[in-house]
Amino acid sequence: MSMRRNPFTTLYVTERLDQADFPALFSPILAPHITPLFEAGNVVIEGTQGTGKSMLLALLQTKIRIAYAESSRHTYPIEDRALCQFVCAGINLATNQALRSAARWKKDDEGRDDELRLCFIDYVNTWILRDLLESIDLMLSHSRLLWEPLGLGEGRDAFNASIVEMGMSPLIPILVQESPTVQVAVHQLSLRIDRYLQFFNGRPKDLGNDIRDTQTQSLGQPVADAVTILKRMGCLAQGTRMLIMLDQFEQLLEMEASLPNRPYRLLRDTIDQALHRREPTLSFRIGTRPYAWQDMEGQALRDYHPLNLDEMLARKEHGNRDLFPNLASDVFARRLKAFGYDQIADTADPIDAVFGAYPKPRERVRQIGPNTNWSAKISIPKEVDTEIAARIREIAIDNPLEAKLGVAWAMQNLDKCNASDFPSEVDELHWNRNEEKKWWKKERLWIAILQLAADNRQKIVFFGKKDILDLSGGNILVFASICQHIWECWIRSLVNPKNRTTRWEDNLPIERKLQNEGILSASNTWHRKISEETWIGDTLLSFMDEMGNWLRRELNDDRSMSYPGGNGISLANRDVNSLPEVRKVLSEASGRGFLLQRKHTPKVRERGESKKWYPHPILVPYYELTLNHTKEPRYLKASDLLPWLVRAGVDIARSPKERQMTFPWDKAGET
Amino acid sequence: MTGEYRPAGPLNWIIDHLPNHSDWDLIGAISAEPRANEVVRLLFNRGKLHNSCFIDIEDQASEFQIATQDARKLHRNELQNLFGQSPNAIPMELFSEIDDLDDMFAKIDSNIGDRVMLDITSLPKRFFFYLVRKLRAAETVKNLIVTYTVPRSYGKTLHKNPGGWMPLPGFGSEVSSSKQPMLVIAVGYHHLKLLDLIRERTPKPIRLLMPFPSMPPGFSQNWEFIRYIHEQVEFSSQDIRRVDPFSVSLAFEHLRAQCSAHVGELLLAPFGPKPISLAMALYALAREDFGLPVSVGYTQPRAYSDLYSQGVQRGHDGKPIIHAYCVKLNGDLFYRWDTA
Repeated sequence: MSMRRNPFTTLYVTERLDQADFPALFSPILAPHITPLFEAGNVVIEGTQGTGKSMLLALLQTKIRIAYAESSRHTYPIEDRALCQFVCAGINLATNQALRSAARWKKDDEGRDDELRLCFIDYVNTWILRDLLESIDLMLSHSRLLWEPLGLGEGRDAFNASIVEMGMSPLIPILVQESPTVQVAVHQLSLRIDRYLQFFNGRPKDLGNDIRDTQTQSLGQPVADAVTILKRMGCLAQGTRMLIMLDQFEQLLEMEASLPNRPYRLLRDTIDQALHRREPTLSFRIGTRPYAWQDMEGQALRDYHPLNLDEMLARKEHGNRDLFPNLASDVFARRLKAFGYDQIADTADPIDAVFGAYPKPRERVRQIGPNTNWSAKISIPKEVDTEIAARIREIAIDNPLEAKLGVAWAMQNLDKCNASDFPSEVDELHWNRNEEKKWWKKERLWIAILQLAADNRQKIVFFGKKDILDLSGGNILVFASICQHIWECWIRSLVNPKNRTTRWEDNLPIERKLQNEGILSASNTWHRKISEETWIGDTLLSFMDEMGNWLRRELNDDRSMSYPGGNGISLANRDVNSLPEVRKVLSEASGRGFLLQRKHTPKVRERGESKKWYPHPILVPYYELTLNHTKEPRYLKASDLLPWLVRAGVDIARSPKERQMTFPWDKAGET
Repeated sequence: MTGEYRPAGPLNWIIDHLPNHSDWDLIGAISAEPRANEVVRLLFNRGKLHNSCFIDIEDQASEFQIATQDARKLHRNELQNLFGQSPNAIPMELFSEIDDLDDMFAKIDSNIGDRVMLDITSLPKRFFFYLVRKLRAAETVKNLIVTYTVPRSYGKTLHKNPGGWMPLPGFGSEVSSSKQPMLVIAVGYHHLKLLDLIRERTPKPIRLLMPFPSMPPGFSQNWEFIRYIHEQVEFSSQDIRRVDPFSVSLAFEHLRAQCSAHVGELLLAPFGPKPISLAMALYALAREDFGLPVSVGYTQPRAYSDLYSQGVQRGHDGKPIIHAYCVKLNGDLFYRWDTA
């Protein structure tokens, strides 16, 4: 295998991966945290793009379970046999055309809404039932040793008898015609799906009474009936759980948003109702992005168990601080191994082996301007006494970072300090000499580096393991994307004749400037991705640009470094709720992962409950912000954001009806 | 390459060479684009216009809305001045679905005879793909010419907030097979969430039709489009085929050469110049006639900019450049599977 292939070329492994390769690439690190996925009861697995929802849900698929069973090197990540006793069937709402039922929505035809819902439900039921029969058939085509522990009972004969029974059962109208074999049953179900697809195209205009009269009325019902038969006939063991997987639930919201004057939650309600029924035979598994699940009726814990991957992977003060680094490390090693970089993959810390240590503050400054005459370059505001300014420029010759902190100190103490406060011995400077001022310095290192970079018309450089993990912000896709871009830069550098003479291993850790180049490239790509969000991408991109550029200007202009944590904003909840447009755009940007939203305890109690928002770390290099989240964010009023929204093309003065069209995420009750 | 001649050329030239066809029924659009009325003006001034109807499409709300409505009003007034009476306009919403489009066609159908000119210049794909299907299939329409007017330039911002990949009305797949489809992308200026499709359907092979020569400075955006797709999915330079952006016949032939051997599902992504999109529509219909699965989709933006295009491209004679493509003459289809 060539040593110059990029192990991260394909970012979205779930969709593009051959099932046989899945066990080698899947990281089991999260497995102990997701056991509810395998137990009875409904589960909603939420996560922004790239948190690995589809990869985790893939574990439930029959083909993947068989791939593990056939693998000699990898065992199924869930070892508890009782947890593995389930059968799963499902549908990916993005790829399997269920959403096309909306193509027959008609303006001013109220009867159509119910008709559409029924088409959607029956289409999904037919698809899932077909998937169930195919899954059992596939399992039974393997050795009994494979399928018996998974919850199948008495094998092929029981399955065939079940199919005949289903054909005679009035409970499953889809199969009322005689279906003596699984092949015939699957074929019949396929024909029914194709009939729907033709109907969605408008050819024929009418669905036909044969289908209309046999449409199933609630989501999952025919599967529940089929499971009852499968258990009665001994095909499924009595304790076997039936899991129904519905992935990419957010597609329903996006489809609904395309319908002008649409009934809100036209199709999402069908799933909400299915969860609410708490059908004992079925356990639903819903994969969704957070923004699509924000206003669902079902109650967490009563109707479903929520699994929030973003929260799980966020680096917290307490608890799972190491979960994401461990996941990243495992994913990294598996990718490298799959592409023949075994030597690195087998090291104790492969990320460290490839990217090395992160830069200490002085090193980061050195990278910004290795040959810079900092004494001349450092920007000192006019307010600073000329004698003090001269001392600061002296310090800057060898210690630009200390000099920059000196500027802030001077600005904070304009009337109190004099030139003697700035001795040339940096250890004697206030913030170095005084123990209680250590934090003053530590909290301002990032902003000092940012301002030095701005003085030198450069950007902050990022490299090394810690920087890469911090920039990933708990998102494994962002991490893989950074690796992809850095690897590209590295491969290009190996073409250089100077590097050809050495072994590729000798070029590790990857050169810092190549890492920085790759990180900037990844950041640009993620910035561009904002505009790809369905229906609101351009609006969100403009809003994020307004916010990112404002934060950068504020950080650079804050010469006294009074707001070292000013790379985010804080708003009082009641203030945000008073301006629905502001609330919605913040909620959308957070739900789609471009802003990180956290609870915030403000300094002033009267401000009331608040939240703070930061651009996702991967956008930090693009917007040229600081990466750390220390100290207080910028306190703003919701009305301060209105100009950003206006420049993003949101018409604040719109009537509620028009606003509904501009903001597809509006709740019906609010419009 | 087929030897079949498919008449196409400047609209004036086509009209001159169809002496037996005295006048035409025109289907066009009331649009914000300055180029929208060039075809109707030409036909009217040459005394070749019989009936006409214009689809008046309202986008979803956006910051462009007021300016777009003003520009549409201006162009509607132009038509009124030309005809001395209000133009026959059919109001529609951009996201009209198939049943509303059928209602629209019923109105159009009562206004057209056997000679129809469809001006796709300012018609969104959701509409013109549908109309090409209906007019091509209509037995009463014996002659069908599709026209396209070239703008002087395109705006910096073309549209706002595209949606996800969805089939164009009537052009969805009709088979539930989950096998890997083939994808052909007509390269344009904006990829508009095309990656979602690639990620979700994992098509293979992927081919790109690159307009060449492209209108400067558009070629750099075309290459940026390709670079971005390539960042996410592997394909070789051999998979990029250069196509004259105004030759429907050549684009049709390219599709034939690339796709006819692929009997599985074919996905067509018309993101490029309108004539290449027209070739995709005609190829999809020919393929459908032959019983092979095909789907055409798009990531429809919610609204188009009032500055989508500027002016009209003029030839050295000072006249607007209007391309005309004969799809059907005297009942004979020019873009068929058996010639493909």
